[in-house]
Amino acid sequence: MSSGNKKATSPDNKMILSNKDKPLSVRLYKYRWMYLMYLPVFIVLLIFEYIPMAGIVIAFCNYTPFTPKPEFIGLKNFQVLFGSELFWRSFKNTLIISSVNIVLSLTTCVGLALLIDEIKTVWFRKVVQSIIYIPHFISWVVVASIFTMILSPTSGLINGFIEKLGGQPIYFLADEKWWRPMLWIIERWKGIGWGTIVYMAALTGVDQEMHEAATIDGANRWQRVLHITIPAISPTILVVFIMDLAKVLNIFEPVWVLQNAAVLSVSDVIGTYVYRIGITNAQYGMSTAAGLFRSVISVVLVTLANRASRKIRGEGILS
Amino acid sequence: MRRKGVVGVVMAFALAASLCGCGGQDSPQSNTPTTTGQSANQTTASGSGENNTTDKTVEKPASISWWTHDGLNEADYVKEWDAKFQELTGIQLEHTQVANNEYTELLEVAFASGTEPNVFDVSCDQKVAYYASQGGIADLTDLVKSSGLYDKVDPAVWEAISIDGRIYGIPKGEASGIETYIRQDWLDQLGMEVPKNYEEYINMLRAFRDNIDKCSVPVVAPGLHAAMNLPEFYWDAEAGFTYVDGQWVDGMLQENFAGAMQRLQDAYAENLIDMEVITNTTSACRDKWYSGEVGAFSYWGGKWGDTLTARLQENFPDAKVTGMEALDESYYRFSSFTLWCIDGRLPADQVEQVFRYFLEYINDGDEGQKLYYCGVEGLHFDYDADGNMVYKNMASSPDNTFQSVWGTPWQAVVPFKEPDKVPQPSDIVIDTLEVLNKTGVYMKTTPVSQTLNQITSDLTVIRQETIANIVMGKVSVEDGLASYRSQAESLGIQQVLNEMNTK
Repeated sequence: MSSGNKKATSPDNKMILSNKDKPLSVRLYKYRWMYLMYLPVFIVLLIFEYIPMAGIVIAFCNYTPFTPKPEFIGLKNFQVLFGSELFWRSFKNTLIISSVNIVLSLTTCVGLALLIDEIKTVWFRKVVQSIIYIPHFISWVVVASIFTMILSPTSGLINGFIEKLGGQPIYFLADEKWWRPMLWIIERWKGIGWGTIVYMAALTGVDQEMHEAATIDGANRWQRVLHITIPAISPTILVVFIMDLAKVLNIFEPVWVLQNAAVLSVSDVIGTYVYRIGITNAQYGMSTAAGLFRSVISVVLVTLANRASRKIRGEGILS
Repeated sequence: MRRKGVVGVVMAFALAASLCGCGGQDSPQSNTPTTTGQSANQTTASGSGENNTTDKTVEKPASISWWTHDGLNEADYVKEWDAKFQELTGIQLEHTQVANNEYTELLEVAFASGTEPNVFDVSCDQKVAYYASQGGIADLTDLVKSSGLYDKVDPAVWEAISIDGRIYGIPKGEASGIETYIRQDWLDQLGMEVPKNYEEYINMLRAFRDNIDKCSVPVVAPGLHAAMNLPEFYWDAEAGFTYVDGQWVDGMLQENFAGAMQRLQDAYAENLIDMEVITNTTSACRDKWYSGEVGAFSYWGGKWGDTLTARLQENFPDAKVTGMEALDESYYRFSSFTLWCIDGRLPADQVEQVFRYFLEYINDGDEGQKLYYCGVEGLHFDYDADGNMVYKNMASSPDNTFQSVWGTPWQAVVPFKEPDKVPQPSDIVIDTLEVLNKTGVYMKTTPVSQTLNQITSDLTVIRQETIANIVMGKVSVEDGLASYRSQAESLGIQQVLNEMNTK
């Protein structure tokens, strides 16, 4: 307080007084119109995002839609959950499927963005971009139907080729060895185009003079990508990586529409597990407990990644 | 500090609001039927039940809320139907049509928020036992018996839908059943008869596979774990809880189940069962049937017999389809009933009002039942020269006539007073229903078990996995079932059976 008073009384300091140092009431008044404009957003966030978070109390209750008052049972839901082999199996599958997904997503999206960036003809570039965005807008149910047909062991396109080449048909979607690779391929087919958008935006910010200078110095195209382009967009890659990490355990839709009884041991993830016990089984307490566990793990992962980023690069995206 | 304080207040408010929400359910404000309060609208309901003969007045409600998720499309005069109900009964129907694929979730949300309707349907194989155990649906046993409705319905139906001897709803209609359709023209081509036993059946499938060029899939099915979809292989085995000699048992732990698995495994290895059976959806199965590559397909009887034949003949005009009678070793299964239930949170007098003026009315065998099954004259049906009701063409699909309104007339559980006057089924429908009814067996509603409520999801997963792994030849029948036994025991299957049988 005393230093603050000193600053305020010093005529020199008045000139460099930052907004942060002004009293809250002054700042509120100064930006009142901004706050007013923000108010609806804040109310919506409060009602639809923050207040529902209080629903996590259900994880500690024996709750059904019919119970007048949820009965508090402490950590019993977590006890039952952690005692279930199927839960840990789904947790393991989630980590495997999602971590490979993140790596594939980063590499393929960055790679494709770099390739598109090399296209100099504007109209062709726009056409390519439009085409690769399309799969993003197709619902997962439709995507699953399309790929079930393409991968069919009896009438599918891929098995048609395999048989033409003298091989035996493979039941890709019902084979434990093949199911995850197929999921990853299908995920990439659907998401690769959309995933390039952020990187394309980052690439437009890369300083062209550096490229020109490197070209004069004799750097070839690959060297320029490696030493100029990728370092330039690495902050964006980092942000996307950390944001993806926050969603790492949320995978549900693609797995739900592609899984079947023959591959549950490799395909059941926390999302599908939670859905089954919550919606099919009406065990809302257990379901919320599993969801809460998933959120805690996500927060831990994001925090760790952010710390690692600060250590390696000197900056993270979280404060 | 001040900022932290604000955040704290917000969080405390959020928690308090949530907990208030929970506490608020102490006195749920569901959509209670409003009463007219006019004595003129009161009626006398006399009963003839065995234990509960009553003779008292039941006040007519001014409105009743009702949810549907199947039946008429909105364009097919739903509002007019509701208006007709009001005209005939003097009760305003607050009718909400809910998307079929969201129905179960929306109903639970409605219960959670205390906005559930007075009348809604629940399937016996899904949630009747659960809802009953939670007080979500009203016990209608006394009302059913005192109303006389009990005596109008086949006792086997009441037996099938009862839970511990109590009745929690009125069937929406007769349960549908699945029977096996066979390509009769292929049998004729091969000079074979419709099979009567398992050996003949397997020989027929082999003949289809080897001697019919167009046949790429001798038998198609959507998945492997439902005995009703593959009755020729399951025989009397069930992949769920089943009632044997007065006791509930786990069907997968019975001796006959190993036999069923062996038959399925052998048939799959011989390419007699569709290789894609695991990933097949019902629509994929139908498409394969329509494309003329399938020899045998177990599917719903009744209206579907008509559709499967007609759609196949659109592509192959010479194709003939026959509904096969159940094999000597096996039988057909009816699906579980779906019941019209009444909100269990309503006070007893309001439950009785809704029962009397809605459920009993649409099952009166006369005016109300005609309205429910046949619809509104001039919109859903017309009378022919003989005074019989004939369905009209649909507004939503002008090339097709209605086959039902909220139910199919020939599947009503209460007989019509003038059965010849209501729309009649086609010959194919009659034939398929006849085949089904010869050996069809009703599935008994599984009783409540608190332990089962907790483990259903895991149990279903290990059951489906076990069956898939055995049939696809990944494990032997013995090893697969031994593994299932061990997993099921660790989940607490014995406790579930104890709870089921204690009641």
